[in-house]
Amino acid sequence: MKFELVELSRLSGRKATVYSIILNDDEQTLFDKFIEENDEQFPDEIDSIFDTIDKIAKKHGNSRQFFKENEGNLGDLVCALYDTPNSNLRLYCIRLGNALIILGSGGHKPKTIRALQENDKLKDTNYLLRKFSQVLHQKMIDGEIYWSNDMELNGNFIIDTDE
Amino acid sequence: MNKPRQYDSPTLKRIAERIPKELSEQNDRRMGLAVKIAEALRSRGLTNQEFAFMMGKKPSEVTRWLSGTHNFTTETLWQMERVLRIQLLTSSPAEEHIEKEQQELKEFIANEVQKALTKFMSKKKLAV
Repeated sequence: MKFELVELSRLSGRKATVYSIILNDDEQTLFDKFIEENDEQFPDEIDSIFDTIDKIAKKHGNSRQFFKENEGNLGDLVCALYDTPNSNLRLYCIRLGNALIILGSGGHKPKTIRALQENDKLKDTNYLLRKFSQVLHQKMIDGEIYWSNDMELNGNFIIDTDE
Repeated sequence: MNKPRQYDSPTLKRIAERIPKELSEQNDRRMGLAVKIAEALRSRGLTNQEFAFMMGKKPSEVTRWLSGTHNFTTETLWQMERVLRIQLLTSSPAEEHIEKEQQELKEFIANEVQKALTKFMSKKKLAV
């Protein structure tokens, strides 16, 4: 499996840099796919999610309060963007400090389920981000990806795993 | 070693261009309020749980308030203003109004000092 971390220039701002992931040799990021998979059924939620990320990055900051934490394994920083009370969509992401957010994918979360494991799409997208978090963590430990002085990431962003 | 590749797409462009202005403004206001409340809690050293206790609510409700997705009622905002001593509603005594009053007071004092000085100087001249 191959991951490439890319910066979403349209969304990044002075408060936070926004990244997403390109899987294998896809042309689109996971976030693009999330939009396209859900836009027809939930256009208002897509607008709201997109605008919230935009406001986080450009105005209000990547504060912890905007994210539902502990959506992954212990300590892997996988979280979800808070959904509005009547919303049906869940977007998984990784929040790394105040300066960085990595958008993954997600899906429709029926109000009838409690655990994400009860829904295949949510489970697949969440576990994929857990996997990415694991390999990113290892790359940081190995010094292949590191923070720059301007609080952005530097390094080699094409990550091949054995799987 | 370098920075990540810059990425944009027709999909992201399409969504960015279609977001209704009203939705964007509402979102901005909700998130702005959430940040203001969170900053007030931080500066007062209050946890969400302690704030929930002061407001007579469950901690999960405070978490929702701070998430930037909540539509507050005026009553809740008034109560927060009383509990935290901050201004959240525009109809409450505005900070700008207080600043204006302070400026007027400064100008009044400067004016009075100037008048007293002029009077003092003219008396001094007469004495000479």
